[in-house]
Parts: sequence; structure tokens; C-alpha cells
Amino acid sequence: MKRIPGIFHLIPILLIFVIFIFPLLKPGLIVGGDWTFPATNNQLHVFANEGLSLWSNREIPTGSQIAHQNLYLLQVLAGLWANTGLDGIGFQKTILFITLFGIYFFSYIFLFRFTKNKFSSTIGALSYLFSPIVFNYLNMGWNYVLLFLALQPLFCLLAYNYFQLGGTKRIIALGFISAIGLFQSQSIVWFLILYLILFLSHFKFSNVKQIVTRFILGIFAIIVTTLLIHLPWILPILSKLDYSFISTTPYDVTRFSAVTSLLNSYRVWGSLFNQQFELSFPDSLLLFSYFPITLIIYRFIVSKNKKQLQIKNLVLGLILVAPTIYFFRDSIARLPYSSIIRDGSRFLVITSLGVSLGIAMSLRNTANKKIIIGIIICLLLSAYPFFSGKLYWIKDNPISSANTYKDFRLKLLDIPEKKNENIFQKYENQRNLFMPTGGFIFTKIDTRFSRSFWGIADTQARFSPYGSGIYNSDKSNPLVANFTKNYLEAANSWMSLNKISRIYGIEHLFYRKGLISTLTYPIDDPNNNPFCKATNVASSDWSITSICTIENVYPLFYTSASPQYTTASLSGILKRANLTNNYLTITGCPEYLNLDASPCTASLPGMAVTTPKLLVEKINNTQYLVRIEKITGNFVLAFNQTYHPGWRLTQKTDNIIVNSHLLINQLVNGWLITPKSSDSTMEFMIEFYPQLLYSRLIPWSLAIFGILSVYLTMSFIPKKHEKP
Amino acid sequence: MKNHKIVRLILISILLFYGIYLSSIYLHELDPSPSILIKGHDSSSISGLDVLPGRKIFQEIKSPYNNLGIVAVRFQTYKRINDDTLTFRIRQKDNLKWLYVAKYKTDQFQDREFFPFGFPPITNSKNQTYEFEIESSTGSAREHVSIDYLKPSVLTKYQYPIRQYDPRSTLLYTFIVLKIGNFLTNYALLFPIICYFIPLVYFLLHNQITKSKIFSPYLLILFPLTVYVIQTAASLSQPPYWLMTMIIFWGLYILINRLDSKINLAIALCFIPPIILQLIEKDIESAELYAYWLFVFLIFGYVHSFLISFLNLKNLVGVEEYFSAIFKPPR
Repeated sequence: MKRIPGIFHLIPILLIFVIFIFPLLKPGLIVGGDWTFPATNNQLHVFANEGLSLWSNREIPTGSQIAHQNLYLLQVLAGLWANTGLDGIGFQKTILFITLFGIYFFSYIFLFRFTKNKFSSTIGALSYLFSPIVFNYLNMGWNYVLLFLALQPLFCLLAYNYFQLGGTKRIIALGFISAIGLFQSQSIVWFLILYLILFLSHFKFSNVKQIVTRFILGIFAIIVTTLLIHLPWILPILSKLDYSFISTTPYDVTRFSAVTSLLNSYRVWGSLFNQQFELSFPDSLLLFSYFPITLIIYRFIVSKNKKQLQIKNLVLGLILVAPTIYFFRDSIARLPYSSIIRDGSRFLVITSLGVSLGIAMSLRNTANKKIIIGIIICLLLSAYPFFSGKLYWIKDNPISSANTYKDFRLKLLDIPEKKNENIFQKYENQRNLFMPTGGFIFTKIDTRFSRSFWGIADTQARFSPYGSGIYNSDKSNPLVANFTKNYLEAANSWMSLNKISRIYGIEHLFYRKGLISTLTYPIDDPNNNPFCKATNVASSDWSITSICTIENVYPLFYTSASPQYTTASLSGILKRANLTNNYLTITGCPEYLNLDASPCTASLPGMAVTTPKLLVEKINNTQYLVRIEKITGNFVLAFNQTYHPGWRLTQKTDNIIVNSHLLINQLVNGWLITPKSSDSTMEFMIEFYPQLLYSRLIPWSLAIFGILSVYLTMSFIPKKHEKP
Repeated sequence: MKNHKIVRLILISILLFYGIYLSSIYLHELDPSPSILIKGHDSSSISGLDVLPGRKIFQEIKSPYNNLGIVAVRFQTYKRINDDTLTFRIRQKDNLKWLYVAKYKTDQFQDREFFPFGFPPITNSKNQTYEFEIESSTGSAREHVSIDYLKPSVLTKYQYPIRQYDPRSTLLYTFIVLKIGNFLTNYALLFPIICYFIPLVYFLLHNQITKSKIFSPYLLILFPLTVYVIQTAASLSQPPYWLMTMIIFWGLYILINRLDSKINLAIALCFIPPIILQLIEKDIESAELYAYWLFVFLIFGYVHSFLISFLNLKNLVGVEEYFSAIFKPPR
């Protein structure tokens, strides 16, 4: 009887279902550590729409800095999914499951290229799929590294074939994969390391000229293809290098190397979110955790096959990536732009592929069936606690409470936005802020986690169309960091909170009592605060329990003829400021904000006697038409969104760009307008210039992506008369 | 043949330069001033002790010279920045009055390096016995330093005003003799210099051993190992640039003997069982040390294997051949 082709894949597929898919088929969003995803269809729309805009409103109420749109391809896909009416949970899980199958099948194809043996390739691919690093990123709910893990073997296979055989389609495919893999920003470095290791494994004295030429051409193709697909967002950022491209701080080096070590690197352990598992790894099985590396080294020593030297170099090169990065972590941290790769433990993604290739080659070179069975048993024991389901049902923490925060086991979370939708809707077109906020939110009693608390980045605030949140991290720019610090400080008394919210135009605070507050002041206390009303909804920790209204908030645009200059801190100003008269318009700029432009000025000349009147027409989120009347002299036009040099003010009549861009109230934009004596009325266009660039380039990039997809599909599918 | 000799001469010059260069860096770091004499002290009674509040670290030192001005103590910081303040006191033995008392923040201490407690030089310190005391103010189990167990962990330094000496007087020459004698008698301080010349000595010895056929030239691997055993047995500190020196030695060794890269992997493999044993024993520090050597030999294996592949080298000495020949003289 003829065998069904590919039937041996049934067992791995079954394992994928049992270990990964079935436990995650329960309702709810997959959340892990600090990474979240849109849950509802509405949230998915918000996420998708962000892909088309460089100016994001999701962070602080007054808009955000330029987003790194390296996810825009996924966001386009999310948009298509959302348009069918399906929700974000389905999208997240589908993408995750496809990725898991990708990890297995692409690694199988890669390993088969070297072993020419189905059995050893299957075991190698399974060892890759069940490597600790996969569980680490599942724990975090971080799909983008998993996606890299799926693309990595494909990239290596193409690069290996390219160095051996050359070919235009292969270098284009390498660039294409690199562009997709840029979902995870570190992949810029990861792909280059993979490419370099594959180059070195082919580099011989006898073929120097040919291989170096191929190397250079390949690099060129990778850079050009990646740039063509990602140019729309890279170009605006290149014109003003972003704050996050800095060297790594000693704190980050310590933080990210606290768990990883040379000791752990060889067994692909040491990722940040695997620590609890690693600490609870049974001592009786410790021996097996080093089995894969022992097996690989031993097989290399006893191998008589001289032809396998190239593969041996490839395996060793890949395995040594994570230990080398760890070993030189302090020197690497000092390199400029090293913050992109600040978490050195992530380089285990490359080591894990080397280990799997080593395992597959070792099995390929073992003839004795009993030994093969022994090897498989040892491999099973080395990964047993990972795939046995312990990941999903550990009830309590086996480690001390001092380390509890490191336990971020993957769970399913139902964000109750649908239940709150009726409450939200009437506030839809206003500027609202979710509270508590600050980026990382802990629940108090959510029983779904079987724990007394759980921390995740605030999904509701990040992706809700009804409000936004405040996010502050070590990657935040100085303006946002300053604002957040001051907002959270001010928010500890209702008077200050009300004041600061008013200045930045926040109309409502959506308060969630079930979350551990970033405030010490209970803002919804009805005895002290008549501005907050209870919603009587408390079905989940994320439920909006009360909505507070801020009265007389500053509008999106306002003018001021009496700006003040000060370098005092925002909280200091708030204590003194009286908001009853004109709009508070501070033009000071503390030095520590360290802006490239110098929008600070001690005195503004010839100010008007009265404040001019405004008529504003919103064209879209990044374009506004402003008509100003009753002008009697110089004045400041404030635009109540986060300062960015990309915001440009153009006078409509003669198309002149107004250069006097100011920082107002230590956060937002303003311009000093100096009208001619004859001007009593003026018209301006305010637009976010990088968005124009982005909007024009995106269709081209998508078209290039589409053309390359078709070209590569046609090129790699064997024609009928060709042998596959 | 002539080319061979030239290459050999160049190599010898490079290795000699390497030894001299690292020795001078080491000497400069150890003793930047030529006017200082150094004395290492037996500190076995305090070595390894944690410096915690309520525990006074007390040590007697006998001063062989005049002008005692620094007591340097080697601390272990456990690679942390420890927030603690130490009080250092020094007095003459049997005298209740402290000569000098000062407080020092431990956040400036470097792991396994000497921290100098300086004070106004004591002019007539020769043959006198002094006592010093170190006490922690705010140390805790998580934030403290301890006295290193590596020898020496206590040094004293003596400042001589040589600039004031008349070049015609005998004082200067007496000091030079004293300085040379002082240096040569501090064997623990001399040890790193011996290490830096290991590659050169090996290179010179190899040819002689090969020619004389007294024993297998492979056996010369025991040379650095013996140095390492001495260092460990005497609890001497690991010299700076030690790893680099060993890497150069091992590189020379495998190139001269035309060894296969698998030798590196075989040695690397030997480090895995101790790693597992130490992990079971919960001795993470020792396990990490073995993991470090595993890393070094895997890197060697990779680089060596790459070079063999790149240069398409053949007729190399394999693992079995090497291990069977190691204790046999070559035919």
C-alpha cells in the first residue's frame, strides 16, 4: 500500500493541538507579562487604524510621539480581519496558532535540508518548537518573537542555499523575510547575525571572491527590500532620530542578565519570563537539561564525516550566539543604539535553532535504534516540565514572595469592554482618560488568574476607541516622561488632578476601582468628590466603576495674549497657578527636557491687548484648518497636543510656514504669531508633516510587498515540468 | 628554511613583547609610584569574613618599613553596588588611642580589588605592630562586602620621599636596593608576571622537547596547568589578562601541534559534568565558572574549525590520536 505523504507530521500536529491549542481555546484574550493585544472588534479597529497613522492618540490624552510602525503589515491584516466583524481575540489566537505551526514546519524543512532524514528532522523540529524560549514568549503573550522563531529557519535555509547556489529569487526572498520579521525590532540584528554565521560557514580560501560578492549583494538586497517595505515610517524617524535609539543603561544590563547566564544559555534557559519554571525545575531532571548540548558536542567529537565540517560550524556558530552576547553584554551595552537589543536573553532564539539543528544531525548520525530511543527519552525529560502542561495549571508560586512579580504565566483574560460599551458611547467623541493608569496595571481580586493580583499593560486604555491611557517607560521621550510623572503626582489630590486634567483638555476620567491604583487618593469617593458618578457596574476588575467629569477644560486650540515664562516644574506651577482668568500658557522649557529645537524664550514681544477669536475645522487627526479673527497684535496660538517638531503651521493666504514653534505648558505645541498691522483675520493650516510623507509612501510600500509576494510565490512553486 | 627562522623570530619577538607589555601594565596598576614599598600580610584570620554591623574585622600588621601610609584590603562585593558605610580605624598595638579614623562608602569598592585606606604616613613605623579595624554601619545580608579569601587580601604601603633625596647620597641607592628586594620578596605580586611569559616559555620549550625527545611535546599542556594548580593551591588572585594569556597559549599549542578542532570540543565536554554536579550542589558560582570554560573551549572549537574549513587543512591530529600520544614520546 502506498504511504500517504506527510503522514508522519500527524503526531507533531497532534502535539501542537494538545500542548498549545486546546488549553488556549477557552474564551478570552491571551495575556502574559507586559504585552497585550486588542480584544474586541472595536479595539482591533483602533489597533488597525493606528497602522495608517504616524500620529497616535492612544497614549496620553494629548496625542503621542511618532510611533514606530514596524507592525504596520500586521495592522493592515488586522484591519481586514476587523472589517469582517470578527474580534481581536480570534485574530490573536489565529495568528498565534499559525505561528506555532510555522515554527514546526519551517524548522522541519530547514533541518531536512541538512539531514535528508524525515525522522531526525521531525525530532529536531519538535525540539525547536518545545524549546524553553517558545514557552517564554508564550508566557509573555509576545507573538512577535514567536513569529521570528517561525521565520528564522526559513531565512537560514534561503541564506544557506543562496551562498551555495546564488540566485536573485533567494536574495529577494531573504529581504522579504527580513521585512516581515521586522515586527520584532531586534530582528534587524538577529537576521544579520544569522546571515553572517551562514556566510562564515561557506567562507573558504578557495571561493573567497565568489562568496564575498554574494555576501555583499545579499546584504544590499536585504537592506533595500526591507527599506522599500518599511520606508514610510523609517524615513520620518531618520529625519529626526528617535529617543529610544540610545545605548543600554547599566540598569537594563543588570535587569536582563539577572536570569540569563552562561550556565543557562547552553540549555536555552534564562529568558526573563521563564525564571519561575527554571527555579522549580526538579533537581532529579537537572542532568537532562544539559543533555542536548552534551549530545551535540559528543556527536561532533566522534563523527568521522569530514564533509559535515560546514554543518558543524553552522551549529556551533548558532549555539554560541546567546552565550557570546551574554559574555560581552557590558561592552555591547555601551555601543550606540544598543537599546534595540537591550534584552540579551532574547538572542536565545538563535541558539535554540542551533541546538535543534545539532539534535537533528546527531540523530541523523546515530544508527543504533536503541540509542535513538534513549536520546528521545532524554530529550523528552529535558523539556518535560515545559510541555507537560505545567505551564497552564501551576496553582501557586513555588518561589518566595520576593520574586512573585516574575511569575507571569500565560492566562486568558476577558477584557469587559463590550459590557461597558453602553456607558462609553456617549463620551465617544470626547477626550477621556482611563484611571488608574501608568502603563502597567494590576488587578486586585480577579479569580480567573487564581492569584491575588496580575499585572498587564492596560489593554483597555491602549486600544479603546473611547479613551486613552498614560504610558511611561524607559523608552518614553522626555516630554511624555515629564508629563506622566507630574500627572501621577498631581493625581494624588482631587484639586491638582482636576487642574492638570483641565489644562490638557481631559474631559472625563474612567475610574476602575478593581485595579490597583497608581493614585493614593480615592478619586471616586462620593463624600469628597461630587464630580464622579458611580456606574454600578462591577462585573470585572476592569469594569468602569465611576466616571468623573472635569469642567471647563482647555480646548484643542486656544490663543493667548499673556503667555508666561518659567522654568519651574509642572507640579510647582500647578500649585500656584490660578486657572480662573485666561488660559495658562507657559512658554518656559526646562533644560532637562533636552529638546533639539529651542522653543523656549524668556520674553515674547508686542503682545496683543485682547485675545483673538478662533474658528477650527478638523480635517482629520493630523490636519486642522484654523481661522483667527479680531487680531490686535502678537499672540500665541496653542495646539493642545503633545509637542513634536513635525507639527507645522502654514499661513493659508501666502503658504508661508510659521517658524516660531514653541513648547507650551511643558507638553504641547504653540506658535508665536506676529501679524502685519493690516491683518485682523488670518487663516492657518496645521498639519503633522511626517504623516503626509507616510500617507504618500504607504501605498507604494504595500504595492511592493504585494508584487514581491506574488513574484516569490511564482518563483518558489515548482513548475509542472520541473523537479521540486 | 630561512623563512621558517624569520617567522619563528617574529613570533618570539611578539610573545616577548606581549609578556613585557602586560607585566608593565600590571606593575603600573599595582604600584604607580616608584617611591612606594609594598608588603603583603597573612590575613587568614579575617579572609572570607562578611563585614556586617556588630562584627569588627580586626587584624594585626607588623610594619617592616618606615612611613606606613596605606592599608589596602581586597574586598568581595559580589558584583553588586552595596549601599553600606565602613569605618576604618588604625592604632599602634597596645595603645588605646586610634591614630586615624575615617568612613568610606562601599559603593566605590570594586569586586576582588584592593581598596586603599589611606592616612597620614607614620614616619617611625619600622618594626612596630599596628592594629586596624573595619566596621560596617548599615550593611545587611543583601548589601554588604566581605574580605576576599584570595591572597594577599591585606597590603600595607610605605611612602618614601625619594624626590627629596640627594642623588649623591647613599639614601637613594639604599632605597633602590630596598625597592628591588621588596618586589622580589612579594611572591604573590610577582605571580602574574610569570603568567604573562607562559606563551613565550612554551614556544621556546616546545622545540627543545621535540628535538631532545625526552617526553611527548603534547605533555607541555601541563605547564600552564601546573601554574594554575599553584595559583589555586596558594589562593593567589587571578592575574589581569589571564584569560587572554591562556587563549594565546592554547592557540599556539593547537597550531604548533596541528591538532584537530575536535580536541577543543572534547575539552569543552569535560566541563559539563562538573556544571551539573555544582548545580545539584546549588553552588551556582562554581557552576558558572565551569560554564565559562565551556564557553571558552566552544569558542575555540568554532574558530579553529572555521580556520580548518577556510584553509582546507588536512592531516590533523585527531582526538584519539592526541590522547593516546599525550604521555608517549614521539617516535
